[in-house]
Amino acid sequence: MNGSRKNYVEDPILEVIDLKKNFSVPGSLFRQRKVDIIDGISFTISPGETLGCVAQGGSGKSVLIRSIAYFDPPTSGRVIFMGQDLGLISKKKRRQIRSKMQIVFQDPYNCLHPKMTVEQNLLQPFIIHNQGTPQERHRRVAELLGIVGMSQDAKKLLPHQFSGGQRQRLNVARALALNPRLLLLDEPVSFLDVSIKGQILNLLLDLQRRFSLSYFFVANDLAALRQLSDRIAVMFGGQFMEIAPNELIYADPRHPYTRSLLNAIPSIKKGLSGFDLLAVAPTDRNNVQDRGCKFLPYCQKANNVCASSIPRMTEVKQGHFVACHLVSVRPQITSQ
Amino acid sequence: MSDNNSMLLEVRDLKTYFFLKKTLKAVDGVSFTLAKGRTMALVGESGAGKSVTCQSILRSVYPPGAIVGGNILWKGRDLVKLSAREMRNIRGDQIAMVFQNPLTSLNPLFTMGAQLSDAILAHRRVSKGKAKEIVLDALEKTGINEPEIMYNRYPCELNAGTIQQAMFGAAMLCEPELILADEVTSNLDILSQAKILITMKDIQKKWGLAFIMVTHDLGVATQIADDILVMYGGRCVEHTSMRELITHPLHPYTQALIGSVLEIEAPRMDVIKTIPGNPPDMYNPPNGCCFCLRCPQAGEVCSKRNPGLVVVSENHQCACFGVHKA
Amino acid sequence: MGRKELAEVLTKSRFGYFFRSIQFNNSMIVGGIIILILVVVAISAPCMAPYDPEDQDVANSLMPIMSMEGGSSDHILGTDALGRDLLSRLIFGLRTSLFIGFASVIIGVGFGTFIGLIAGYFGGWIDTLLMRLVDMQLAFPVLILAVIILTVAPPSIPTLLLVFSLALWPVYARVVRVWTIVEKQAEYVTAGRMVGASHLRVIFNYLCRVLVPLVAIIGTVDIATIIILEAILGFLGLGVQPPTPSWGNIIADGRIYITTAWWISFLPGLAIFVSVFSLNLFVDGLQEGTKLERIRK
Repeated sequence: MNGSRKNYVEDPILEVIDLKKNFSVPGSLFRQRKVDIIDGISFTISPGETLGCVAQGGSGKSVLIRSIAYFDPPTSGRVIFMGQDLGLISKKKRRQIRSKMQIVFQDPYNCLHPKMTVEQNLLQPFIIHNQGTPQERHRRVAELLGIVGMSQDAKKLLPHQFSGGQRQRLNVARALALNPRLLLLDEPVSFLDVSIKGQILNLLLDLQRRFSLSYFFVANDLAALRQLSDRIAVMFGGQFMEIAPNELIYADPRHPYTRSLLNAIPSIKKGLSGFDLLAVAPTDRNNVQDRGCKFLPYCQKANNVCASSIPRMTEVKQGHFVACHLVSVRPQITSQ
Repeated sequence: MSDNNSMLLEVRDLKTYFFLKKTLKAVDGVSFTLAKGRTMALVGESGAGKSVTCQSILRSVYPPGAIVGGNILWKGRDLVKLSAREMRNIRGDQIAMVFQNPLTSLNPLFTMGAQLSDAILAHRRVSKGKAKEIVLDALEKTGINEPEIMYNRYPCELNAGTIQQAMFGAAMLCEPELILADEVTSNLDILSQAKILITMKDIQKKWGLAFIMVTHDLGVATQIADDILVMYGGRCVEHTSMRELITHPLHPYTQALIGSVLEIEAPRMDVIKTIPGNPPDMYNPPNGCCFCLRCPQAGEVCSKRNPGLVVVSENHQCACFGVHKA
Repeated sequence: MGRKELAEVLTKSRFGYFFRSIQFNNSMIVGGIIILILVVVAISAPCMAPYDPEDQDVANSLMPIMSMEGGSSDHILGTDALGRDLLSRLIFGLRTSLFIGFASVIIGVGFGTFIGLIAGYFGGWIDTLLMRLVDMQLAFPVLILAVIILTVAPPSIPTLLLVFSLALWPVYARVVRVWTIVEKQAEYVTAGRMVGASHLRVIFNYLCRVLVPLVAIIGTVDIATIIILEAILGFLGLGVQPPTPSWGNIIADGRIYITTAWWISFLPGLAIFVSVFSLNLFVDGLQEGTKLERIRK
């Protein structure tokens, strides 16, 4: 149920099983409504692999990341990281293991402590876990700065003296401090300039190769995901609609949402030949479905079946999973 | 570009500086013309001066910033020389602006419809009912489904894309002839972005509006722009029609920018093409051409003098020592 | 030492992170210098004051200021009804006022900040409980509370400190609580927790680093408030008791002589004005100095 290559021998580094997260929202006077933010997400990530996740703002991506990291423990479901079920181990052990899973955030402007120098910021992981002698720590900090391409002069400066791209590099440096195995990246390049985006993506690619890192890369930008991901998952309304290997998502998208996303991307080549978008955009929040497919209000091809039950992930092709009633019914849909 | 009759806006050598501890030359000599019903895209990275150019056109640059030179001819009148009162008549009425962040454009405590009605009531003497009618009409014009329901919604209940559409509606309330769209799609997801682009094209077709679209995304620019002006470090580095820019980019920055845009159809690369270095620090701009530190084709003269805008061919201008008149 | 050198020295000191972000300006310097002078005078009161403030010399009572008719250079600012030198009394009164001001603020603001941090960070029942305590405290008007306490217990400096701290802490608890609720969501806090920082570290290391400078700035204004409050209580006879001088009771002493020996009441009032003014000036400058850093971003 994960779409990874079947010949992978190693155990997955991250296994998320039917993750659900809901929040209580004040409803009428004494009752509280439960709003499902994440409604049953499952996937695995193998060592050294990048799983890209397309998620628009408001789809619950930040909640998903925080739930995987067990910051806000999920309402139900399991997260198994490096073989350990994060819900079953003690808090102390969880803290230890969690250091092998780091988050890189979207907003580079708030990720480093604003009143501490870069050096102090980067020393934090070592101080907290009491690792290494002071000399070793300083050596490691210097090493980290080099790895992310920052000069050693950066040490004594404060975060606000750096540009967005540089701060993002420092964030990555801090995330690497404890030698993580998995990085959860929450739109790390969306706030950056076009020319800097590529630099940071290159840095991430390079780091992955050097340290055999696994990435869970959430982004809005399908083109960036194309470059980094081995597999791509399409998220909508707190569920995955489609998971497939990189090439297949672009060559043969099956889910109507994936199709409309790909259609809506403004590309230079498209601009030249004129364009004709059949864009379908989620309008407002009150149309969330309780039963049936989450995409129903926006789908142009929906029929009665879609309203009655939530479609399950079915394997359409080797490694290609889609959650859509229409796809299950007709095994071979030609792309339009 | 076209004859003078349909020339809506003509900007000549606009200079807007900010006087802080050091003088920050946010816009340093930008010129372009815009005809009726055409769309021009201002493309560049952050700090290039695109937003400040728009604010200068609307004369909303306040101390410590000021327009220090140049002319902005709107239908023949120089906006730089107008009084505050005369400018107020033009702002919102003939030239409108839509901003980047839809979530901060509206007051979260009032319904969207009420705020738009307030905007009308502030400028025109109409009844509340008539104001509501105008608002509903404008919402429909911009392609919002079920405007009646949207009217009574609060901003927190609305999708960012819908709010942005409503802001376009708000901009259209007084039937302007030019709308300045400042990074209107940057905070939106892909589908909402596409919707806004369709909306803009639609408005333009039906009502003949002109647009100046500020964006850092070349892909977005190519969707709707007729002409593109590339800015870097407060100056114009290349200015031509959209097709010409994409097929025959002359300036090294434009070439690098096009090269670094990630396309869906492109195969996976080991190393993504990118522009080395950082955008210029506008407090300490480099001597000579502002792009010279990152330019793969930089020569000796580039770090000494600033290249002026050269007319390479009819309709195509470029500011680079390496590019000569055809 | 010019502005730049001063800045450099302070930046390299142990609390560099605080000073690094400050832009020195005129208000801050002028206010700061005056306060510094006042503090130095207060600390070295026994050396500075020409006479013992409680030394009575009835023969020389009600002497006016030196420059006026009947004044002498023995008593620069004159004497009061019991012949005690006014200048010395004012200097010792300064000592009392400044001490009470600083101490009350440190205790009250410190306690309030602590409560606010705990309530805001942990939320839940802790938050509810602590905020109800704040509400209870706020329900008592400060001055009435002060009067009650000081009638029941003998007015001494520790009692006064208690009264003023009680007056100060609730507002700080509330404000800091709200600030904490927002700030604990900041990415650097989440990132710190991801790396394994304990709650203790997050609160007292990360959050406090940002919070303490802010609170210090706002708290300094309250020193002025306390000085005035103390003078009011002293005037009412509920503050520091005579013969120990405090600006409040000097003013009270001088009340009956207001038409004849007006300087007895006037001079302490002037002293209060100067202290309060310089404190406010300093804080204004400080606020401007730290605001600038945010604009530069």
